[in-house]
Amino acid sequence: MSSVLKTDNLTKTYGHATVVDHVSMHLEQGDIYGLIGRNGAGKTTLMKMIGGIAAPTSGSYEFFGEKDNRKTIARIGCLIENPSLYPDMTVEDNLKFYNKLLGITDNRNIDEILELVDLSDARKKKTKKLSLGMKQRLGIAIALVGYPDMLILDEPINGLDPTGIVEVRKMLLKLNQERNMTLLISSHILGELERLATRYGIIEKGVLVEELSHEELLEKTRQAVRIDGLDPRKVTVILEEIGLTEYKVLQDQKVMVYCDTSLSGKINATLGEHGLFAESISVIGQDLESYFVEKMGGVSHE
Amino acid sequence: MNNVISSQSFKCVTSKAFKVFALITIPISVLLFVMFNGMKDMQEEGTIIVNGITTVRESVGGDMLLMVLGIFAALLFAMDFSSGSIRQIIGKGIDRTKYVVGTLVTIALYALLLMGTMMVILFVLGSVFGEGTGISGFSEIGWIIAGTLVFVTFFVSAVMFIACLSRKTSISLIFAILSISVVNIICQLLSLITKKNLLVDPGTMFSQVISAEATLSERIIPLVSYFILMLVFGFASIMVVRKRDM
Repeated sequence: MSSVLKTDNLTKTYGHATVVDHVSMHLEQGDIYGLIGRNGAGKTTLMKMIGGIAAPTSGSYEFFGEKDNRKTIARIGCLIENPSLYPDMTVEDNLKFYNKLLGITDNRNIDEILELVDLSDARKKKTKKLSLGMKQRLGIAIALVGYPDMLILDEPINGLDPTGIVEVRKMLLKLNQERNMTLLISSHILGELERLATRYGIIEKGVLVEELSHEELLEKTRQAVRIDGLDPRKVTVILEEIGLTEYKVLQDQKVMVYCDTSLSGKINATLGEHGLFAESISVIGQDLESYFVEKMGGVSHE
Repeated sequence: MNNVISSQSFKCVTSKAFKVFALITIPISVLLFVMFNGMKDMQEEGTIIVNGITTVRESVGGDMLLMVLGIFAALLFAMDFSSGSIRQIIGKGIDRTKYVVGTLVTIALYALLLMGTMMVILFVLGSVFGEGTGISGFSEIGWIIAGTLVFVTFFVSAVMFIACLSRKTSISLIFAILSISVVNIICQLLSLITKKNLLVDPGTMFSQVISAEATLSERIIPLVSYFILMLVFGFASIMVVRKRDM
């Protein structure tokens, strides 16, 4: 896969405050990169720098392996903070404005974009009369003008009702799967990001504390029952007898059983019936939210 | 830059403000015509003396034109900042300098359109109902257009500068309206300074005492002054837009 975005120690300071601190991240084509962090963690500032809206204090970034961002910025679509629309213009005219700005004379792309964001029926509506969800989708539509290869979306599902969230999610997945579009998305709604992202970056106080793939995240947040102090050979035989085939034998006579953690009692009882009494049987692993909260400093800000 | 001009013009044409301001030119022109007809009786030779930039305001309703353009510039430019559209525009890879200059050119074109409309209306009214519109010849029209464009672009670049700094439509609007009176005074003073050894009686209308011939050569000074001011504010706007994070 080819590189779409690479940042190298990207830093932004305002006075003495460092908002983004030496962030180095890497996005490959087709990635859906979920940027996670609490309010004020530096997500928006990082996205603004990448989108060319704010100048980095130090560090650099490149798109598509090209150092000169002036050449490649046209291949990027941004929706940072709220969608900025001209309220007295219609949905169609808002898109025509950006078409003209990019020198696109053929307005047929508008039909396709409106179809994609499911706003075809509202094309003649003034944007001030749109619902929040429709505005959000129009903001994404504007970002799509010029058919970018990468979209930078800052909180694209913020303030949407559940139906709106599902619509935006489906649309983003469609863009990613059908057009192989790379997406960089920030969101507070972890459950939604989990459904979308293929990679994650956790940012805390301007520092990118961890980058991990969806598979790595699943592994880290996988719940299991850990059995300590018994002969693994005997334990695994019994586990197989009761149908628990997904396990891992670790060092120091530890066995990890990947199963519904409510089965820990049953495991303990079955082992006892066979005369095996473990030093300890414990449930380990965190849910997604706890994992991120821990990485983001340990205190939930919900 | 053509793309910026094209898109900003599109924004103008589709905006309500554009339509309203364009319509305002009609009553302004009619009022001016009535006013000029009254003034003609007060003139010694029965003609309106045109005095470059100052007279642009007097003869083409410059105060109103400036007010209209100032508000329009504030709406067009400041709204991009206050609504956040500037982020999306710059995020599309549009060069910031081209954005500022393109917007300024759009407003200058709009000024030309308004001025042209008013001149045509005045000409038609003068031809049908009076003996003339107060504009004496093609060279005067040329001076008026040049003077107004420089004056208007200076004024608009100042409004844009405020919009860049404040990022608020309301502050830019207030600036546009308040500064018109200040600009008027500066304009009058500059024109008076250029006319040496002239004693002006209190209450004398400026256009009554300065001949067209005398001011023709001297109007260059205020014209250049405004041009320099326009460049200063235009450059300042570009610097602010280039350097500031959006």
